[in-house]
Amino acid sequence: MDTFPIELTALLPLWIVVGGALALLLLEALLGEEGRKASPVLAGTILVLALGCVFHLLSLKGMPGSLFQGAVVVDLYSLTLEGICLLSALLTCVFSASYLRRERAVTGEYYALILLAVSGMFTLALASDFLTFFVGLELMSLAAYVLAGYLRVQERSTEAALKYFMLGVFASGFLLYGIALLYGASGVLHFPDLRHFLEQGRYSSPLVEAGAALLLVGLGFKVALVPFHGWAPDVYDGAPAPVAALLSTGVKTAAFGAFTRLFAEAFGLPGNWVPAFAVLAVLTMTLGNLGALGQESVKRMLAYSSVAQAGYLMVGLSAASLAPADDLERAVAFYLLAYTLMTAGAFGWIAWAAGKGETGTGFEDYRGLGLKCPWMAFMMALFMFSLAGMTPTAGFFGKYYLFKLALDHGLLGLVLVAVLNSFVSAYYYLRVVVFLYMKPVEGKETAGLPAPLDLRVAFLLCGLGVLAAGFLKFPF
Amino acid sequence: MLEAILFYILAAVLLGMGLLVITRTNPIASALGLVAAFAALAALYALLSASLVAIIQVLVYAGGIMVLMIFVIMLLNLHPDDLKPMKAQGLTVVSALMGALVVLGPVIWVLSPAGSQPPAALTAGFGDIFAVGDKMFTGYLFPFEMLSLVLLTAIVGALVLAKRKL
Repeated sequence: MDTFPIELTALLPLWIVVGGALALLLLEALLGEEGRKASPVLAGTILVLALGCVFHLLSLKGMPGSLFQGAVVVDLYSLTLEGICLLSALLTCVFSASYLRRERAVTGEYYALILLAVSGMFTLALASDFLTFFVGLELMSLAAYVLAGYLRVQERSTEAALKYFMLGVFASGFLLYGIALLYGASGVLHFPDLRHFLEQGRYSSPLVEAGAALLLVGLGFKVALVPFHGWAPDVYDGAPAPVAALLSTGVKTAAFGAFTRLFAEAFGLPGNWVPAFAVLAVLTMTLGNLGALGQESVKRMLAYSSVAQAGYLMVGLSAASLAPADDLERAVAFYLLAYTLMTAGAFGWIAWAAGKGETGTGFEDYRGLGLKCPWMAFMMALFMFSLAGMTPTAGFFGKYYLFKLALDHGLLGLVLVAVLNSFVSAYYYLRVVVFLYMKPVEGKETAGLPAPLDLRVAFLLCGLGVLAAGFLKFPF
Repeated sequence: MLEAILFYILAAVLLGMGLLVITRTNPIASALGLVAAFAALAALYALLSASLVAIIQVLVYAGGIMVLMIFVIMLLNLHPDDLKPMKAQGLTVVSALMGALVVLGPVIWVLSPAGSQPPAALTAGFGDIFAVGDKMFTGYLFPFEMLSLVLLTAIVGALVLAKRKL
């Protein structure tokens, strides 16, 4: 591979995904109906290919480091994030194939948009300066807005897209203004340069703090932290379930990954951000969990749970200015992997179980499913146990690493609140399991839902991942 | 001295036209106010020695974007009865004030004696097309190329959402 420029080989996963997106767009134009049928398979193949590339790059000895004059950085952390985003997109593609068939929706540009969103996620995960960061965020968000409203004949899907778009654009405004203030104060755009500038301590300007606070607000919107979470339940609930899986895992992984890099590497100054992050963490966990408690729809419960899970991540992030950047990034990346496996699995399960038009998303609809479809019900139970943070699953280890990091840096009170919140969350997660297995079926006997083979395989992989991830050697 | 006088005249035009945009009920009047505001902004850029940005501002915003807006106004074809003046509600006023504070706060601080910095000397060729092109295709090559994907996504997305028959 030495004969190729490093920019080509180290970013190969990105080029594969971008090329794949363009190919998918052309496919329908060139082949018509045939191309339409082939697009899910082709999208899946491209994603698997890119995933293989990521694994190959991870196995190499040295990391390429920063490329394009510091615009992007290819290291273990960004490659791991890329892998997680690819996993999320791959699961979404599998869930979508049978979902779109059932809803009789036209596939059209659906898979190309997923790949475009993935290229945005990659750009965000790789970003090492503010310009790349912002372009990646916009690319990812634009594709996500359209995907959320893809089923435009359904009122809820359109409403979700509009809400997501309005608040997303608003958040981008905050981010951009924050970046402008930081650039005005420091005159640099690269994260390492900014850190260097701040460490010299020559700045005496509230512009840096104001800029960083605006960045925090903008990113808070994007990853749905309380009090900026208002859009999240409606969007995750209203978007088609496979898209909700992508929005709550891949999109969130990339945004949280870049968020972590930004505050660990650019603003990594001792003690600065602990109170702000801790308050956001406590609010997000508590209000997310309280919101989830009262829900009668499992899909909406999962939407609130996704907000609460972001709160647990914030517990780890509170240590951003205390812990070494490497430790923090490892713990965050591992949690994001665990979170992606269980949340994407759960949303995908809803996509399957809710039936045509997503009419059956309530707890009551899953009464006695444990007997009718034992295999699929077991998978959902597994995801719920993992989300609740039960011992042998990935969800437990993810929380363990994050909380341990916070504990090691003296944030005892915060960790206590987080553990209490975990106990509360067990109630609504396990409620799903109760309905699956312990409630008798009322009224007439209904036949079990058929589950296509590709779905079964996807769930099997998710389930194995949830069980095995915790026992891997500590991530990368 | 001349620069300062020009600056204040242009800034006043910009502010006045900006007010026109949000206070007029007739959309065409608002649009014309926006054109004038864009032109004043372009002149301000030129005053800052950013000649290329000034030209782009006129070409893209005052030219392209404005034509698009006029088309939207024409296609919406609003009836004069639909164009009632909006009543400002309590919450709107509070949010507007908060927003203004967030935007104006840093600006006021920069203008205050504590925050102002001595102007840096301009490098040779600052702001001309060679300097911008040089930056664009060296240091900022990657984000610049990714921007083309953003535009592509926007086009495809708009078609997906707006096409009558998928």
